[in-house]
Amino acid sequence: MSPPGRTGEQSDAALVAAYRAGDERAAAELVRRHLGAIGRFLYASGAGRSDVEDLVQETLFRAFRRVDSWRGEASFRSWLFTIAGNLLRDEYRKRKGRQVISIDDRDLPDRADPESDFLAGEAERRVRDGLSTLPRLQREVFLLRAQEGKDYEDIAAALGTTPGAARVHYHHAVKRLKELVK
Amino acid sequence: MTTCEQLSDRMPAVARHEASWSAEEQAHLAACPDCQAEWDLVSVVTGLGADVVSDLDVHHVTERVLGRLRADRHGRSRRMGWAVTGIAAAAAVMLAVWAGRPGQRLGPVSHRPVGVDVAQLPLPELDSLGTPELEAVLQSLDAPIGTSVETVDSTELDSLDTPELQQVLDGLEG
Repeated sequence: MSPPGRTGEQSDAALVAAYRAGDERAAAELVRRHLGAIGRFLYASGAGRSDVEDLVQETLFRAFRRVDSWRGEASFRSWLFTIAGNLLRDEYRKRKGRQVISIDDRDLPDRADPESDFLAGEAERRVRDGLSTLPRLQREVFLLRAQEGKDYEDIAAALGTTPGAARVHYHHAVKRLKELVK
Repeated sequence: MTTCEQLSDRMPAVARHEASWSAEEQAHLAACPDCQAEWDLVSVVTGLGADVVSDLDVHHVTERVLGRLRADRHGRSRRMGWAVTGIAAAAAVMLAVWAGRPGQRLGPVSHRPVGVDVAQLPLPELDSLGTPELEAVLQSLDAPIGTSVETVDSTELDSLDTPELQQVLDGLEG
């Protein structure tokens, strides 16, 4: 179920097989391919701006360390997101329930147009704030669908649920976020 | 006619610029506050964190991940080596203990006057052995492979003279 990728690109499954056969370049290509998406997912899920790089590294390390457990039921990226989600949960527990992320002004990017950028930053802050209040499954279904454009079959395979249940989780998340963000 | 459900299903693809709205969908979106709110939400989420990941150094992350994986593989193979060594040592000890049990000995070991390992005894030196040691050697030749006369009862050592004791020591030391 790996994405087909651009023409001429090897599929994720082919790269994983090459890495398992000892080709480190395949791992490097997989890192390049998925690093940004993992970072966005972690940030949207509540990771602090300054923690994202370390968390991305840890996610990828954990993933390659037990890459044999990826059997292709879900896409490689969705599988990576479940590892990232578990990592974030572990970090949250380690910090004894304190926010892994600080959703405050210093996490907002600098922009050139102060007024419109403030509104955009405010919308992002509210969405992140809202996402952090969602139950984990709702949040991950929502991000896999809205941020990554994954279909419900893939989401269900990655998160151990059914496509129908994933759709319901998505709509619950949308409803709740709309209330929180408006 | 476009429904809210259909529009909702299309939002991620349009927000990611993988598709675009049809005229009918655009008309629905403009007239439906619920869909507009969802569209705003999906649009924000699609771009969320883009500036954060643009700061990530792909090369640096890749090197660190691969470096940790190499170190982990090395550590795992070392641990595996130690585990195999440990298992082998434990097996050797168990075998020695098992072989040392009284019921496992073939022949009256306790009657052997001297302990001499035949394998460690050069043949010319047999000439210098006394009768008790030669008997021990003969008995050990009858024993199955892997068993040897390794210990000497202290009472039997008492009956040996100095050259004989030296022979026993030499035999033990190989």
